[in-house]
Amino acid sequence: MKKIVCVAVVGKVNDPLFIHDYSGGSEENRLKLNYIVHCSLDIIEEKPGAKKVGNDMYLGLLYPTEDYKVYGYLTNTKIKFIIVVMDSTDIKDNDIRQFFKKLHVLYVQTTSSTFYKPNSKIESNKFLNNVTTIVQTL
Amino acid sequence: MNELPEELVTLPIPLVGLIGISNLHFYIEKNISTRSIVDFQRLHPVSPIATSSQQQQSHISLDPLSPKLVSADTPISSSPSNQSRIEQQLNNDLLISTPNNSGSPALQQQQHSQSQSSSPNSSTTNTVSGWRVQLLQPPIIKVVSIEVGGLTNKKEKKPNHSESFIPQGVIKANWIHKHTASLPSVVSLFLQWPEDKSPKSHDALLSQIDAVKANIKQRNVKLMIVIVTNSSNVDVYDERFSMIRRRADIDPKYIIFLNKSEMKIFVKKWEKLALELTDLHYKEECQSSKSQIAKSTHPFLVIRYHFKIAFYSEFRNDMNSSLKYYTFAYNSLKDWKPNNDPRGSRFEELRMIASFLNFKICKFYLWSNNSNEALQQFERHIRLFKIYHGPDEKQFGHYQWIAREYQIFAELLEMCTNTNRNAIPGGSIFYYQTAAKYTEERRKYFKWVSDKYSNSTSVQKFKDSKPRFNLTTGCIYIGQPPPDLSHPLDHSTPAMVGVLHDDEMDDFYRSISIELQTNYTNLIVDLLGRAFEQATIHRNTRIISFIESLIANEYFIDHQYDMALQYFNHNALTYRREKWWMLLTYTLSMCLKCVHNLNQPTSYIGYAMDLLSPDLTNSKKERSIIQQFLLYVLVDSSKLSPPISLTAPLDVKMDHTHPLINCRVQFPHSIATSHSKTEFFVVIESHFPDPIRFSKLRAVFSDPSYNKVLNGDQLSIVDPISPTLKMNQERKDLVFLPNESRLFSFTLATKEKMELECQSVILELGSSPSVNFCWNISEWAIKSDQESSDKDQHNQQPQVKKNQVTLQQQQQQQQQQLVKPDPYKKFLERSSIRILDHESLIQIKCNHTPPAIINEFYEIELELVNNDKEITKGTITFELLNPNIATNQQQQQQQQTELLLPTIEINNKPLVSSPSITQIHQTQQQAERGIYPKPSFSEQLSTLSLPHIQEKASFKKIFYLHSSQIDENRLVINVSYETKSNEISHSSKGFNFPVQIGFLTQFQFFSTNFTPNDMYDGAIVAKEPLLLLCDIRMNLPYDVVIDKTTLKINNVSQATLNPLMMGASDESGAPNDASSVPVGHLLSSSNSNLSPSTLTRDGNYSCWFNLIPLITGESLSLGSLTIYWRRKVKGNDQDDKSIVSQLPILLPHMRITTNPFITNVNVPSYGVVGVPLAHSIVITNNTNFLQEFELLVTNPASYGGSDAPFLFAGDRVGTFSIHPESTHEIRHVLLPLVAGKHPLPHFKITSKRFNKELPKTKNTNEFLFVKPFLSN
Repeated sequence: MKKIVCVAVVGKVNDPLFIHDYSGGSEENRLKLNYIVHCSLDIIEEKPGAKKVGNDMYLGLLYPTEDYKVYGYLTNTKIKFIIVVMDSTDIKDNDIRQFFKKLHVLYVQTTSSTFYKPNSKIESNKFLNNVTTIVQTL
Repeated sequence: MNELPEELVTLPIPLVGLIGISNLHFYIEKNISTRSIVDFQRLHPVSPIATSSQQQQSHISLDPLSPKLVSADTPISSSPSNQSRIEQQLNNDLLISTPNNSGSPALQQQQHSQSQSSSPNSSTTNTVSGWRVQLLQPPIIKVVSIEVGGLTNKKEKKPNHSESFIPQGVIKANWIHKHTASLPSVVSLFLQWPEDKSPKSHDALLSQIDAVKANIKQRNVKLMIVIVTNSSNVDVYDERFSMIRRRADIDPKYIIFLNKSEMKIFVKKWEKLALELTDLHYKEECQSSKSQIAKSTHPFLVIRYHFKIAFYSEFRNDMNSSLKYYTFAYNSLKDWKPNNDPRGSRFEELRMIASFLNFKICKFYLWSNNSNEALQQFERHIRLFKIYHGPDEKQFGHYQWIAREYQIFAELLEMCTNTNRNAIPGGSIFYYQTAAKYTEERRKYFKWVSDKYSNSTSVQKFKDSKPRFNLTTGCIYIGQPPPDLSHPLDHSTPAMVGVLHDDEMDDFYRSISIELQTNYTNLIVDLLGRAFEQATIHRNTRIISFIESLIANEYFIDHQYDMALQYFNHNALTYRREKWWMLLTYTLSMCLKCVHNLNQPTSYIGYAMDLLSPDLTNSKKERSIIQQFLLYVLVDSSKLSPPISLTAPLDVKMDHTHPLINCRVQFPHSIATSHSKTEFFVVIESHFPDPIRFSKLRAVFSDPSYNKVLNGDQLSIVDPISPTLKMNQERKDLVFLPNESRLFSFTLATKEKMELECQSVILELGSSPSVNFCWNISEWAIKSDQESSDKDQHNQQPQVKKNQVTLQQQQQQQQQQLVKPDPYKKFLERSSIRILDHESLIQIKCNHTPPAIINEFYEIELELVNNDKEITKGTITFELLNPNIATNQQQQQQQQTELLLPTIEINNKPLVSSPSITQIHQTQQQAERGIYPKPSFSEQLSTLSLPHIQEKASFKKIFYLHSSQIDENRLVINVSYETKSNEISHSSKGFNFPVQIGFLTQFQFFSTNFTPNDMYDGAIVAKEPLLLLCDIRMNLPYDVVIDKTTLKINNVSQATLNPLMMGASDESGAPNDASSVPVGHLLSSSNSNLSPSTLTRDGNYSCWFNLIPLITGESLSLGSLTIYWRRKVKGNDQDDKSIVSQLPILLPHMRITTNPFITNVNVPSYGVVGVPLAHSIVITNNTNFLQEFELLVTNPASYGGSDAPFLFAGDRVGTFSIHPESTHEIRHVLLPLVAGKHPLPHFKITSKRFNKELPKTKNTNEFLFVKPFLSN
């Protein structure tokens, strides 16, 4: 069973730069995941002020839903990485943290491309493939 | 929480029974102390009937833009008015319910607690009431009046009861109520102490004690006795008291006396003792239950006893123990799995018990700020009971239960405001939302049951059934269905509904009937509304949007499309702003469905266009369908279900860059000439998913006569489009392929001069009715002005040149092929064009030699060079602008003027500065400026007709500018003309003409013997001849000829700035005539016979005048010097016909005084050697004072002492005085000794008063010719 069902990168003005559904579910499920990711931005906005410690960009568990758990990661440039994980899976916090770090590196590599227009939607296939790879390793 | 029994929700209060002397009970209850605790309080327990009517009212209580529940079931309403309404209702309810504590406990229970899974079909959520947490003041003890022997007997337990007993349920349905309302922990027996001491009356008391003791013995209820006496003097050592104490068999301290006069003091004492006993009772009950646990084998009993211990501990305020035993009970419960439970009855019972326990545990955790533990407990609880066990027909009830569990937990979270929000992200929002979700599940699972049974007669007969809101009526154990003939669990062959007992079937049918009455939408919207309220409090805007979409979905399912549309519409704004395209796509598609069902064709078209936008995430197929439907709305509504059609033309105002279809326009040139042709381009870019055929393209201009229409082919918009069409091919139709950009060109025939602007472009889809996509171009496009406005700011000269160039360029461009913009690329959008008259090609010149001089008829030659076609007629207008606008220039001129001022010198000493010429002229006469065709003032020039001018020919005309002041004249020459081909053109040009003085003049005054009269410094002397030297220096860049200069003597009025300032010594005539009296008399002029003199730059011209000032004054100008001058024409002077101009220069204002002493020196014109000659000096004293003089006669220094040419007779040194108005003569006789020219001795006469030598005698260089003596 897939652990991660959705990976999202959200821009500094809260617009989705990349969102991919790994659940393989229906359109309805994709919509639901979009809603979950979008709502989690509210939780992220509440989080850092109270909890951010040092340079740690990992925000931890944002909130659990009935079926999923949502984790967040906020970069210094206000880019948000959000993953939605099946609630039934037992993933260690450290694994999630490592996953986010890898995702951050991939994001930096992709956006460093001269062909990438800053703050625009990420449409690079390479980025998608790389993210899919690290999703499968988790 | 409404579904939970009130006794379970609130903290239990120890119950004390009161027996005997019932009239005292009221006083005791009234005086019982209270304590302050924070606990839940039910807001308004209302009857189900009342709630159902409230529910009807509440379901539309959401305001779409700021949804806020106003239904009565809102626990904590944010609206003050709502709050007060609830409080008022609460008060009303309390008035009704409070006195019935002892009276009708059963009724209370019926209202507050509801049947749980004993009646799963009871729509418990129909009970609309609320809870809140607040500081309460409950009594420390609750009292209840009971009769002697009123306590029910406890069932006898068999020996080894716990080991062998198999309970039929976990907790008795009435257990909680029994302990909180009817079964006291302590009984207080009130005994009226008899007055008579007869044994009979005493025996009655003893028997009463016996009866009570017998009654309470089984229940382990504690006893305390109150002996009520009438007098305060009671003999406590009375034997009868001892007997009562022995009979009661209680600690003597629990036998107390009551004198009715000391009721308050008594109650304090009584309640303290009662509390001790209640604590003891519950403690013993706990111990008893613990001992039972040890003996029990059946898990139900274990759960039961743990529950009891926990509840007893609550009576004792021992919360730690309470939490501990509730947790034990829950753990015992979860470990037990029912077997052989196909009907799910046991599962329902356990679920209900678990619900009670879970509530208690969560409440205690949240009460102690242990949010994490509460959350874990709740999640474990849900995980444990989420999977349903039982018949499918009753599964909807399970989802009802889950929804209720979520709702209860959400309410707990909401009310425990001190809960750490970070521990539970989102707070209660998620739980309300999940409760709503399970209510949806409940509806879904009920649907097939409803389809199956809704028309069944068995169900119909219960159609008027109301939900049963009781825990006790007919119910034995909590969570079990009501019993029928035998206990339901006793059935050994339970299978499906079909084999259920009739009563049980009735119960099932009743539950279906009640469920059929349930309005799920109200329930769901109510729950989501609470979530919305919480999200609003915490300002979670995105969560709000999510909840809004859920609410909207629910309204959509319930066919309340208007409400759904409002929520979706509001949501769309959020998602559009944050560019969450997928969510926006879904929201817009729902909006489209709503407006379709609401039959709003206008909105339908709007949403359809939004959804057709390529930004959204819907598939091409979906977009194709939307496009097709959009066309059907226009032409064939029958193909849509429900039908929707547009009845009137619809104008859609489009953005400049609408993602679906956009428009750009361009005039290729910013200017065009009248009566010519120009192009206008319109580019339309379409992103419709399928090829689309428009009907008409219209371009609307500011002048409607320019409007253009382009009709497409005459086919219907739904007619198939030929698949052979290719992108970018030249076509005359209005068909757009997907993502095609087409350019349409219109040729405009220009008319008159104007600013022509394209105001809008309209693209019509369909006809009658049509959708008109309208782009208001004028709102955003660049106007032709903006492009060239900066350049237009320059003066006209370069403009003419530019226009010439532009025209040439245009002509070249027109000759070449016109370059059309690429419709797929950006290009300069220009929505307006300036249509000009035929471009003027004449050149305006002015030939002149600056600067002009004041009062000169300045000659200017106007030259028009015709570069245009042959001019047939025209006019020239002259416009002399006001020079005062340029104040700076004038200031500069002022400074310049001061430099050019004439200065006055007397004997080379500057005396005074004259006022400027400008000022003089301004004071003397109004400044005058004008243009004249001839060098005279006879006729002014304003317009001039143009003669016939051939092509390339010139027209010249001389005119004159005259100005009487220093100035910077700006002359604008406007030329309008008509060419042979009737083209009218205008041209204009401005010229500057500076006007200056041009001559620098200096004036010097001398006495007749060329010495200054310095008796009074800076003044000239009246009535004595004087000489005036005028020095004129020319500083013009060209040569001038001064013909002559004249001096005009002023009269008094001209001489003075203010005639009243005229000197008092004016002796002439009457005052009326004084102004015409000349101030002087011109004796002679040096230059009357001089020939004209030519002056070059920095050349000088001098002239002399001899004049006598006649009157005295402080500031008088003797006259004005007029220079007659003309410009020197190169060549022969004789042919010089240049105009002679007059430049008047006013003499400076001087002080003119009378001479104090008139001195006459009389000397013969020559002498003869040896003949004596007389030398006399006559001095007249004109002053009013006696004047003293000194006389000193000295020989000229060249003689030395001896070689004097004269013999001298008379005083050499002396002093004399002259009386006022007197004359004194000094006489000397000189005898010439030798012939020749000899200097006369110097007769120096000095006025003592003035300390100055008389001017007449001052000259030391006077000579006398001495003839030789001729003897004959």
